[in-house]
Amino acid sequence: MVLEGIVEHGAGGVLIKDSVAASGGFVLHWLLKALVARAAASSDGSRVVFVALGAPFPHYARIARKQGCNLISCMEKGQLAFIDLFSDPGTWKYSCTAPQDGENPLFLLFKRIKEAVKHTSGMIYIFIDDVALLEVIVQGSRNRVLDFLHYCRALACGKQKGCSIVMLLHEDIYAEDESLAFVLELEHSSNVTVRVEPLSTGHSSDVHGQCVCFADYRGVSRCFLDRASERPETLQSGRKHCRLFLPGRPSEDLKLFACVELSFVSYSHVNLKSEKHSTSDKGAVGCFSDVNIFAEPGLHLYQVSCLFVYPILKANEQMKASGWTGFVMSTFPFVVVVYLCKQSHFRRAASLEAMEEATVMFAGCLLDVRRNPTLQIIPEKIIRYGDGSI
Amino acid sequence: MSFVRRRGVGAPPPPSPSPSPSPPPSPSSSSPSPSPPPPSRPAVTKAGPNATLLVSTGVADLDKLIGGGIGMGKLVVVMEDTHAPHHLVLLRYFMAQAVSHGQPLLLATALASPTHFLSTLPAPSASAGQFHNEAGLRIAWQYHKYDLGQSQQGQDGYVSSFDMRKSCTPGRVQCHSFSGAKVDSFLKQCRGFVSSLASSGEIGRIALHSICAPQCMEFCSEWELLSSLLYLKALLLNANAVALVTLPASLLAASSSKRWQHLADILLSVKALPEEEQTLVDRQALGLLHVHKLCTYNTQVPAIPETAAYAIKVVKKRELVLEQLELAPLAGAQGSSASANF
Repeated sequence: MVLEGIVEHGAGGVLIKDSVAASGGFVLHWLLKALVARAAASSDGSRVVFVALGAPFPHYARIARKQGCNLISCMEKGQLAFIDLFSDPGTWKYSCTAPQDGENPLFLLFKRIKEAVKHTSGMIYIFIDDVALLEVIVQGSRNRVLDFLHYCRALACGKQKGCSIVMLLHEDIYAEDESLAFVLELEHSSNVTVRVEPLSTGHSSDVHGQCVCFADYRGVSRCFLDRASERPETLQSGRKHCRLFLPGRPSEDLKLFACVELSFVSYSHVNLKSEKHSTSDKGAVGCFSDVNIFAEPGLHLYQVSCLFVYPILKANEQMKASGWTGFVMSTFPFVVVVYLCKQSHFRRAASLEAMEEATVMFAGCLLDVRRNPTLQIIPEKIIRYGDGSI
Repeated sequence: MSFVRRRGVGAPPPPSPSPSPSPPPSPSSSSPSPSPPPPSRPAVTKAGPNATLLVSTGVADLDKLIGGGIGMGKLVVVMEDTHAPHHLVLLRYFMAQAVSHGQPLLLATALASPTHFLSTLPAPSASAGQFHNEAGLRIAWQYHKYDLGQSQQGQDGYVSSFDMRKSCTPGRVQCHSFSGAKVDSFLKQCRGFVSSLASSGEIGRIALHSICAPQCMEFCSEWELLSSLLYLKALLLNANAVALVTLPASLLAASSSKRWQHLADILLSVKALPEEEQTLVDRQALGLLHVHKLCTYNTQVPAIPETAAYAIKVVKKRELVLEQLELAPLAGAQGSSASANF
């Protein structure tokens, strides 16, 4: 997941940009659930601090419960500290208990956060529901907001491994030129930027928007992600999840949430050697444990090489036996999505369009791979390329 | 099951749909009374999804659009159009619904004299009882299990139908005018209103007309207004109240209007019908209503409307009706038989 990148690489964070037409709240809920579960599972004492300005605690608790995570028990165990500023009448300037002019309300908030993470030894994740509302608290003083964020990032010191901030920002508020610096600063301080946009074709009741991720990984230039159309959907049992799928012909059989989980995997990046990267249409072939990986033309081969040792590629026996092939269709920030399809189909595929067709038909098989609990990382497998280089 | 036995040919459908299509023995067919049971008291709220209580907006079509009604503690923002005062119609319906349910109402407006506005509220129409008479439909027995005509009886006073030609005398309404006053006084009045609701346990409504109009901005800055509205949102959530705010979005800078839009739980905008499209859309339409955002409290996914744009019509000069647009207004070349919903 995107988290792996955040977890491994310390300070930084995620910036989620949304607009009125397409709300990015679902990314926050998703990340909250995943990080709290991770904090619960790991024993290093990581803690999640959630600063809620846009909605009260029951809203998040209820959604998390539908996703299978009990926030109240996490709070009791100390993995989550929830600072509910929305219900707190002292937050906004006009209540009786608000701090008087001259005192920075964000400083008080920072003290609360510091108090909340005092005894943690692991990673700290700070979620901020709405940066625009932080600005309203300080009556428009953006410098104070930036200072506050800087202080939060600097919270990690001593034993703590680092502090990541996950922020939700409304990008349409800051669309003007003079506000651009603010947005850029926030983007710069985050590892990953997720931009949630409405569809360019307008309103649709089936597909609710699209989301694009940018990642700045170890200082390497940003890779642009293929746009995934986002489809928040309700399952009949009342749990809600978001489905992300690539544009094209999304098939109903694709359990794409699993697909996306699969694809956001971290990888250790190596230097991009652009002169080795060929622009020929043939692409290159990588083989890995009987699963052939075909790199899409234009893809940086080195990215392909180091990454996919992650779960996908120890294909289970059944798949190997039936002659599955994987090929790369697109790059996500840390990862390359590998689609597996029958080799016979792939051989017929002479063009990129045919590859896409093959992909969609068999992308459902990714779910099978994911379900296999014995997937392992095998970094030492040799990857052979069509042009002979590694 | 023989075709001979037709249950209750002349009788109205029973209040609850029968569970099976097989005809019950004849004595029970007379048990549903000719008229549905009278409601004991009007159902002011309705249970909504995700453990919310819903309150009606006053316009039945709008309620359906936004997923049943306004959730308790939510803020509805209607963006105004400089060319047409259709937002006032929605505001009037909202307030009239409060009056007809007997709910306390607080009106804050940029106008200097709010009381004049109060005299323009529509009164409940006398034809509310007519729905029940349509139950004289002859429905064959095998269709009793289907929910025919239940929607009319299901209203039960949740949303009243109003007649715009008549006006009603509002009861418990408090007024506040923004012109010449600071935000402090408004908030003080809100606090008082909300605490009185808490003591009486009723559901209250707050209507803010033309917030951010120049009269409001004379004495307070935009940040103050924003934070006061956020404070109001927090107040509403803890109290049993809903609020409807109309916002002259075109008078604000783009970034500020976006801030207000993000503040809203439910965001609607009304627009006048542009001149060149009047021939394409039904001539009776007054304007267009767009649904921008719906409430996502307690859920990731709000109720998704089929389309985002609706035409506002006034039927027979007295009722407000919202209709899905049959033609895409921008499809200039198509004739009236084309039906491109957008």
